[in-house]
Amino acid sequence: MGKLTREKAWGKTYLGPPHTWPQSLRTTLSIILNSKFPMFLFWGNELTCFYNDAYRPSLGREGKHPSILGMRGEDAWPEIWDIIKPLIDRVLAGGEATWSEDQLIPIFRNGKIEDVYWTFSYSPVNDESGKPAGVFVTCTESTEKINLLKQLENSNEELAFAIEATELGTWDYNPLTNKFSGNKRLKKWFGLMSHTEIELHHAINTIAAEDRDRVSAAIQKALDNSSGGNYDIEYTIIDPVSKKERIVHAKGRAWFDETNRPSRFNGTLEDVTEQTIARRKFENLFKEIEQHREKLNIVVNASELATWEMNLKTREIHYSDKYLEIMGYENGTALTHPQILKHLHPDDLPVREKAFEDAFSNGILSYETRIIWKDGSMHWTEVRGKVFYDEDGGPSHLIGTVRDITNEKDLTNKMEKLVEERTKELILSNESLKKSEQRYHLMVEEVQDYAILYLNREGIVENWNTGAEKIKGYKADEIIGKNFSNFYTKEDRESNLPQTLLNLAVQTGRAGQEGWRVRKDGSYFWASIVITAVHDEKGNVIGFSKVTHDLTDKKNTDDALKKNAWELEQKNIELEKMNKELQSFAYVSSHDLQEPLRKIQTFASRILEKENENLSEQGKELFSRMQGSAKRMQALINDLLAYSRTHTSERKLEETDLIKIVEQVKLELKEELQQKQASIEISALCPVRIVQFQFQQLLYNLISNSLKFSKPGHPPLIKIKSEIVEGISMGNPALALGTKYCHVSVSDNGIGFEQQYNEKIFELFQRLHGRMEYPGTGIGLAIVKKIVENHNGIITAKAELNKGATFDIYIPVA
Amino acid sequence: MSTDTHKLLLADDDMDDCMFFKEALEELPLATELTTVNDGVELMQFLNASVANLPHLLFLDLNMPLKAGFQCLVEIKENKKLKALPVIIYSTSMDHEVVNTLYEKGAHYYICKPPEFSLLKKVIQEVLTIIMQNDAARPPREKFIIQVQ
Repeated sequence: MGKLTREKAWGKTYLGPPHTWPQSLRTTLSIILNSKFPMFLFWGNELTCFYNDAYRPSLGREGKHPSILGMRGEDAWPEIWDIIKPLIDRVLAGGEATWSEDQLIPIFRNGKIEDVYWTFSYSPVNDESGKPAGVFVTCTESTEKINLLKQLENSNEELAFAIEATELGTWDYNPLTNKFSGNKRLKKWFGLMSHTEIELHHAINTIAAEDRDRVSAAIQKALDNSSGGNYDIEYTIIDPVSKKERIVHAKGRAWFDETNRPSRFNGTLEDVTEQTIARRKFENLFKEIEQHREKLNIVVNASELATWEMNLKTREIHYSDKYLEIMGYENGTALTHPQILKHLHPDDLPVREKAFEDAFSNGILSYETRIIWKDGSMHWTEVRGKVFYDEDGGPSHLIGTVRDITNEKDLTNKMEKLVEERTKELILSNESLKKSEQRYHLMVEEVQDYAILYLNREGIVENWNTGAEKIKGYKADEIIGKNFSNFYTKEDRESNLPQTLLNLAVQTGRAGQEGWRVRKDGSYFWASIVITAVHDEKGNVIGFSKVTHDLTDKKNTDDALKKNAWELEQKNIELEKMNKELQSFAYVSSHDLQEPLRKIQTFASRILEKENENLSEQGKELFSRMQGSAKRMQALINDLLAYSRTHTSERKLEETDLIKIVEQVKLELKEELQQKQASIEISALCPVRIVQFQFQQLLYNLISNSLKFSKPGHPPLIKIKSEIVEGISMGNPALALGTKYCHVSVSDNGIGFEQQYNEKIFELFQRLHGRMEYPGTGIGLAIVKKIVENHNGIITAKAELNKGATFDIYIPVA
Repeated sequence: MSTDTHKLLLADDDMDDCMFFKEALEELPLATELTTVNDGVELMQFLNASVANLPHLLFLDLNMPLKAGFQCLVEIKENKKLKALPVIIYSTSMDHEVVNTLYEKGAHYYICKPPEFSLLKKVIQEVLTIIMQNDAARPPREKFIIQVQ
């Protein structure tokens, strides 16, 4: 450049020839031209351009070199003049020097506008006057640097992109500072803040507890120079946020300095969770398959199956040892397919062909054929197989089994023969069964008075007979298939009676019941039913037979009887009531009737006593007769009362000694007995079951009669005796056969009576004598008879005029 | 028993019978004092009021209005203060069962009302005599009924 500068024709330029140049310019130029650093100068008003060799490269080729030497600045740099002119002006104006770094100022060079980066400084150059006359430019082109930086940036971007694409985490550990950092992803995995560096042991804490020692050991090994610095390990980390496990594969390298100390340790971290899980699954699956295979082998070996496999394309066959056994060969023999086919029984070849045809259409091979061994023996084999297809869907393999079924076949044949015979037998017995069934059917069918049905286990009617139709009103097709509860009343159904009866039949074998049932037309009938459980050979209940009998008529009769009995009882109760009323009526009325009579007598006797002197004999006589009438009436009332009481009083039968009763009566009649000098003889009195006071009344009446009807002048002798007799022996038809009686007889020596009156005397109010002859009401013997009848006994009387009378009383003993 | 005046109590609703009884007593040679009540309620009231000074003997008719003689007998014999009083049943009926029950319930004697005045006098005398002799002790059942002819 020095040369060029010297040799330039400066005379034509603004500056003129060099010797006119000021010293400052010359000095500056000499600095510039001698410097190895790129420099440029704008001098003077025209900002004439000067530059050195070092600067030249920046101008490129086909550009401004060397033309811009001595040119006006504006002419030299038109493309950037608006950028640099302000800077030049500033400097010339006395301002400070400028500094621009890495500034993009595109210039024309190498035939085009190029992007050029400059680092430059404009500084003022003063002339002799001390004012800035030019601008001194020191500059370097930093285009390369910038381009490199850009490239580096791009590379980094690409790298990051690549790393991002690979989904790797990158980590970097500085062993000197013990600090650990990584890319965004790694930091995320380790739960680190994206801008931090952390200490190594923090990072290790993220590792799963069981892996920590292993990882630490691997790190230590890598950091040891002797290991070569390699680091390759898989471990599990636990995401600090989600707590999810992440299996990672760490690969890295340690870098060592001259002293073999680790200076750098970095690498990648790959998330292999999915692969690891998949791989583990696969390993498990593989294990399982192995196990299954083993099992299969065991099973196959245990069975009699031989396995075989045929490649359908090459017709090659593989087979198990058992296969050879079945074919009748020794272990180790090699068999080809054609050889095998030769053993097939010729008649069975079509069977095999057809089976293969079917197999190719539906994928399953299955047939049985005979084979003939080398030694001529015949065996049956069963072949099973499955077709396997290749990717094109064409059959590629046939895999299957073979089994020797010779024994089974023999058995099968035998069985078939047996079955045939059996079937013949069954047909025969079926026919006879049908016949007997028909007979039974007819038997049951035609019965009319009983409904005989068959119910199944649930109570559905399955059979029907004529009797059922008659009794219940349904035809067979109307009721078969329906539940038998249809025959029951609504109330019985609600109280679950049908099911209860079935259950009872199941438990005890049969259930019987009487109750109302409903006919088809809704009318009721009274039925007597029996449900019997029917069993199979094992004893399970399979159904029920039901027999129904229509008892409506009988029931009506029974009901009528019951009603009658009830009415009877009601009448009885009424009668008793009436009786009681009557009794109290009788008692009261007799009492009330008696009282005035008593008064009449008492008053009469009082008058007779008191007015004795005032009364005439006739008067006294009249009073006396009045008294007599009253007395008679009193006697009558008493007797009537006694008579009524024999009907109505309680019958308390007691075993009594008659002597006691007689003694009581003797007491009662003491005066009379004494008066008449009568005697009573008692002999052999057996105890007898009687109502005591009634019997006392009876004896009183009989004995007082005997006293009354005694012969004048003959002291009465009354004999009373009793004995046990058999009813039959007395010759009295009224005495029941086979009953024992106590026979009490009371006899006297009085006036007796004519035998023809022996029944009349017992009638009420009947007398054999007038009142003037013998007093009496005619009730006494009626009372006696009533009392005897109360005791379920009999009384008879026999007598002879003037000889006396005997009364025979028979009282049943038991 | 002293020969003091016999204090007799008669419970009877019949006016005539009361008159007969009174006249019969008057004609008997016994020192007696007669009080009459006419129904069961009046009887019990009288007795409860006279607890300190009970009569010697009670002649009790059975058929009385308001409260029957039987009921009165029962009440008297169940009453500690009254049960010592001898009760003579003085009635018209002769029902065996009734008589037995009366004996069981504690009556001393049973008299049937006689139809003649003389017999009435007789029976009253007999009763009083027996009571005096036996010192108002109760008789056995056979002697429960007093009959006169």
